Amino acid sequence: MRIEIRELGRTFGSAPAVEGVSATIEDGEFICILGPSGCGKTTMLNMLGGIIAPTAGTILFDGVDVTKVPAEKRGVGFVFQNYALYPHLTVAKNIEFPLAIERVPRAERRRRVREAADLVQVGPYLDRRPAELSGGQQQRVAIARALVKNPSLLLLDEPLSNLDARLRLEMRVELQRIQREAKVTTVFVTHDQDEAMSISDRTMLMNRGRLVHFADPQELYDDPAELFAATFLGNPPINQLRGRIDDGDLTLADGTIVQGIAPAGLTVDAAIVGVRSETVTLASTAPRARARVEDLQYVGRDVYADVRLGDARLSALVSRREVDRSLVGTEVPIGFDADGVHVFDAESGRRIR
Amino acid sequence: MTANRRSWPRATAYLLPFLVGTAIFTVYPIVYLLIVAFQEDYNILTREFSQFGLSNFEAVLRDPDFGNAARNTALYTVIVVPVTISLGLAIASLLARIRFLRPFYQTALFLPLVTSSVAIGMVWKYIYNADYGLLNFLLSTIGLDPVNWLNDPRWNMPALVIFGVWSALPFTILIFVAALQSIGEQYYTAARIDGATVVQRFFRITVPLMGSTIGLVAVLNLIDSSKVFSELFPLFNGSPGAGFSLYTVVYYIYEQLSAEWDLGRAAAASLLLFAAVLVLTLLQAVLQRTRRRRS
Ligand SMILES: Nc1ncnc2c1ncn2[C@@H]1O[C@H](COP(=O)(O)OP(=O)(O)OP(=O)(O)O)[C@@H](O)[C@H]1O
Ligand SMILES: [Mg+2]
Repeated sequence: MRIEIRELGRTFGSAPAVEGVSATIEDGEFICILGPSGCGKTTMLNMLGGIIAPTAGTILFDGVDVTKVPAEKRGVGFVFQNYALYPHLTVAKNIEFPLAIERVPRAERRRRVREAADLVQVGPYLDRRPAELSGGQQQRVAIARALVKNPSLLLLDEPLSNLDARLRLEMRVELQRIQREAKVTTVFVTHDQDEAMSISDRTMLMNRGRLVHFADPQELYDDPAELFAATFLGNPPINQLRGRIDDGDLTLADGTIVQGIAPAGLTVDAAIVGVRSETVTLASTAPRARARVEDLQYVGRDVYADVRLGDARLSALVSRREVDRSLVGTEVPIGFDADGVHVFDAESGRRIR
Repeated sequence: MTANRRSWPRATAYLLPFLVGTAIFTVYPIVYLLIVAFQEDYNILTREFSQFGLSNFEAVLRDPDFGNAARNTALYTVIVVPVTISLGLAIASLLARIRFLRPFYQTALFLPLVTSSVAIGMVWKYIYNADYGLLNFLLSTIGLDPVNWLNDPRWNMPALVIFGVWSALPFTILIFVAALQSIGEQYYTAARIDGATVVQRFFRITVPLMGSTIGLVAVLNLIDSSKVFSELFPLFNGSPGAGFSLYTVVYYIYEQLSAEWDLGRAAAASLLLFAAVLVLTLLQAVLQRTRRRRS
């Protein structure tokens, strides 16, 4: 199902939880809504599901305005963050619930419950109560209940957040497989960037109720629309250099000059230059400045160098062969790969280059 | 453990006044009643009896008055309990939704519990008045003939039932509202997503999740309405209705004592009533358990 969201907004009291969000989700896409806690992800999802009524804007399902259609009539599948399985019903009855409401004939009901249970591999637990299942099993039952009615839209609110790291990875793969098999348009809420990156076709990055950037995850990382996007994605977080740019040269607050970090001809009074740690080199043949290596951190196969550049600190991801302990305390010629350098307006946070 | 053992005497001292009171006013009468029920030809003045036996029970069960009383009580209970439960559940569901009304109805519901029965009786006598009563007025607005609620034997039972439901509702509603508020909102949201209408949500989520509370309230109301008697005072000045249409088991017990001075029969009738309520209560518990196992 193709979903169009136009200028969607929701305020609680006077505080906006979601503001002016416009986006189009194509049929069969797997979309993640990503953002920090309280940015409006759940509110967005609940508006798509009809659980919360928007205070502004419209939602179209396949061109039909459903903004005022209540949850009962939207026919979407929803997996809640806390699963919300009916505690008084067995797993089988839980999965069957939407079909019983639809008055699907008994024999067909039984067949579809079987199918859905097999798809998420909860067949052996059909006679148990939700309280007798592990978190991962409950979650799969919740997915089965959402899928059994063959919805054309599947909404999931941080369904993996209660699982341990390994099960989480397994369920990610599982969920992708299920989504592909069922070919269902899916919107998945998460605050975990790795989850969003690995699972989604495209990711909606939200901040303070606004849609910051809606693109495929790699573009989000490589080409952030705002400083927020650049800082939210990536680990370690992107390095930030504040200062004034004059014809491509950056002057930091203490007067240190980083030459040619921005394209020639660019002049910005107050800029923040974001530099991904993997694009910093410590033995540059075309150095931009000299910097002091303060420490080296060995994390598995990676080495992170803590570098002081004027009054700024940078983290640089370097290869093990490139560095050794003797470098600590010395000054090195530092360089940047232009691909990982982004220039933002310090005031608005908007990307300039 | 040692601390527990050492605090024993003190705990006993604190509890003693209460235990003594319970022993004198609750335990002793019950035990006495149990014994007297089985003593034949008991003389209330001399406390003498001929032998232990079942003649009191036999006499009660053969007494057509008791049969009439049992029938009236059963009829009253069979109507009042389900009506109270259904109405209570419906009203509680509505009240639980309307948040801003909560402080108001929490007070309003307690009013009947703390108002003197004399005042309540006067209000209800007005409501039931054949000539200028509120109920008949309401009936007349929908084109029905006036009813002589308090003096027509056919309408005495309905009048008592309405009053009984009204008396039992506040307590029932309070318990139900509390139970409703403990049901997580998420189940209703999930049911909406699954396409359930308000009515379907009520019967598929609310009722099953309230099952044990409904059972409990049903038993409490059952116990209460099986003892129907005191309600006769505000409404009928203590008479068992026109033509004895409201002659109940407790009225029978009361009459055995106050008119016949027959403590043996009164005790036997009390035990029979107690046994009936006990059987129904156990039945309810068994039903609850099988229902839970089935679903
Ligand atoms: N029912 C409500 N009443 C008032 N404010 C609300 C309500 N629901 C959400 N909000 C507010 O709206 C904002 C967005 O909330 P929302 O639940 O959508 O965040 P979220 O992105 O899902 O966060 P999290 O990752 O913590 O779940 C928050 O500031 C929250 O306090
Ligand atoms: Mg949330």
